[in-house]
Amino acid sequence: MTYVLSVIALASVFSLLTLALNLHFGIAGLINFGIVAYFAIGAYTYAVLTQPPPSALDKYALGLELPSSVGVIGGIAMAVLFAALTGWPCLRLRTEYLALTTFAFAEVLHSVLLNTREIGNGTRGLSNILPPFYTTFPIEDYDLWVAGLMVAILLLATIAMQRLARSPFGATLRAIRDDELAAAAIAKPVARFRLEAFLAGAALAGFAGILFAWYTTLVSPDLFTANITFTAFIALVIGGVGSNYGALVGSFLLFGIQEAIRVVPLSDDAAQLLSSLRPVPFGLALILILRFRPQGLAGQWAV
Amino acid sequence: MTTIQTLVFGLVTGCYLLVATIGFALVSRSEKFLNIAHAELISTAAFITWFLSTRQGFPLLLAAVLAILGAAVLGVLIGRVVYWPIRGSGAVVLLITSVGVVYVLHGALETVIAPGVYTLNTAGEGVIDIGGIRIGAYDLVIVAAAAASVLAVHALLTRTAMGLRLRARASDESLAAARGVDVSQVSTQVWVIAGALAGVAGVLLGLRGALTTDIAFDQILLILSVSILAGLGSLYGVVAAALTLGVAMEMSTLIIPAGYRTAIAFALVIVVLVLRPEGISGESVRARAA
Repeated sequence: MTYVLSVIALASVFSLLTLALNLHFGIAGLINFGIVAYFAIGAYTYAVLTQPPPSALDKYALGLELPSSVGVIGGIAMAVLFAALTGWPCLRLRTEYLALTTFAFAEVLHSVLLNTREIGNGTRGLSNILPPFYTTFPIEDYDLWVAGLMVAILLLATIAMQRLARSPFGATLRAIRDDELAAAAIAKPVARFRLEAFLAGAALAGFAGILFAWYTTLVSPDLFTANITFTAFIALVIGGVGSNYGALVGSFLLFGIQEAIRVVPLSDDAAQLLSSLRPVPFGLALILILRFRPQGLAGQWAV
Repeated sequence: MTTIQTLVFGLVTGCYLLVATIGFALVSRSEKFLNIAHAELISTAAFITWFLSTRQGFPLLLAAVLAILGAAVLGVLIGRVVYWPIRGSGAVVLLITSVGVVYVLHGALETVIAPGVYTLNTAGEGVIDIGGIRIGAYDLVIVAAAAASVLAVHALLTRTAMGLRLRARASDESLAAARGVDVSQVSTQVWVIAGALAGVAGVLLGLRGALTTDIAFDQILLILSVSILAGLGSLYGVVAAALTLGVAMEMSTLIIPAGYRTAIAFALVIVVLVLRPEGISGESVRARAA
């Protein structure tokens, strides 16, 4: 039961991140190959704001011990701020140039988190993460409540994203994605729309990062690698690029299958082999879906 | 003296980067997308060399030749089976597909060879002392291989009919096809050459030091940095960019902690992409970027 709850929580976190990627890539056409950066900023900011001040053994410089609500707001705000800083150079570029610049920013951030102890204890990371509503939720069913909270957040975010995608704002973003010149020709402020979509997606990615910190109860640089970005891309492609429901379908399928395989009882050698083999089916799924079903499994529900 | 010694190390690193990047640049110039899986071919070739020479007792040279052949075959196989059918889907779809290829090759490699650290048996390597500068015999092999690769690619592109067809297709595929160039055949040739170059780079990677099963990720970061510095799709810019980055990376360790090396390489990448997306050499991409 706890295991199922943890899979649901993890899949909800990644659904949220994939929704953010869908806003960037699927709806606005901004190929963000560094979405893990905004995810990491959200998680780290939440940790720094809510953790206790450093004790003798800790190397980090700052711990504010603020309530988790402040941590959530701060984490989202920092992700948006980082998006504003990186968006200025990134959004002037298109297609693979945009992909490379966002990717480069994520690698720089990763390297900084890895090498500076003052922010996040360097490679060791931060492990004093304040769980949400720790005193409010009944302690015996705490996991159930947290999983429920994550699912509730996911549902609200999905409704919000769906409304956004169907609004005139979303329609304009799709118009810019499909034909930027034509959108500019009918006097749409292309640069402003792209920046707003970028900031909104980053806010959602930052929120997903905070939920991820709740889930793992620790943040460290090796949790925030390019693999997170690629996982979100795989989930989005499986579900259907451009479809909010697809983001959910893809993420739940991906983590459902991955975790279902993990519970199969195996000898140590076989488990080792299986863990090495694990990327293969996901890579194959990505290749095959892009070729034979580019609209993804839930593509018919695209906006 | 340490400075000159570091400079020499930097040039050797640059020569390796040159071989690693030139195949990638060839693909991005003629197939028009960033093949993130290029580094997986490099690490596959490195591990074929390792497997044949240390596990099977093949002579190092024979193992190296077989690894280069293996990488060429694997390269053309992936190029034909995975990339060719979706060539019309655009650069972004091809780029994301290559991430899928990374997952497949990486998973396959770690399944065949358990995750860990491996080294080629290079104990017999001699060290040559030139006026106080020490250089390993294998470092000379790396420099020679880089020079040979560049000259071979240059001769192929400028002196042969095949090179002419390749350049024609790279500059305008439909025009080349209309003029009777078999674009499908040219694509096959590109994948063979790029795969073989990845194979050479893999062998050199093994000669340079320890191999880890996840070494490809660091390599693709370096390859991307070099090719952005050079200007995406530019072949001759790669020579200057690889040597510059190799020297800059080794020299920077004299001043800045080595851990920040990637951060600096990528900060440089961002600056180049923003200020001069066409790179050191290469035609303007402003029109496309605008």
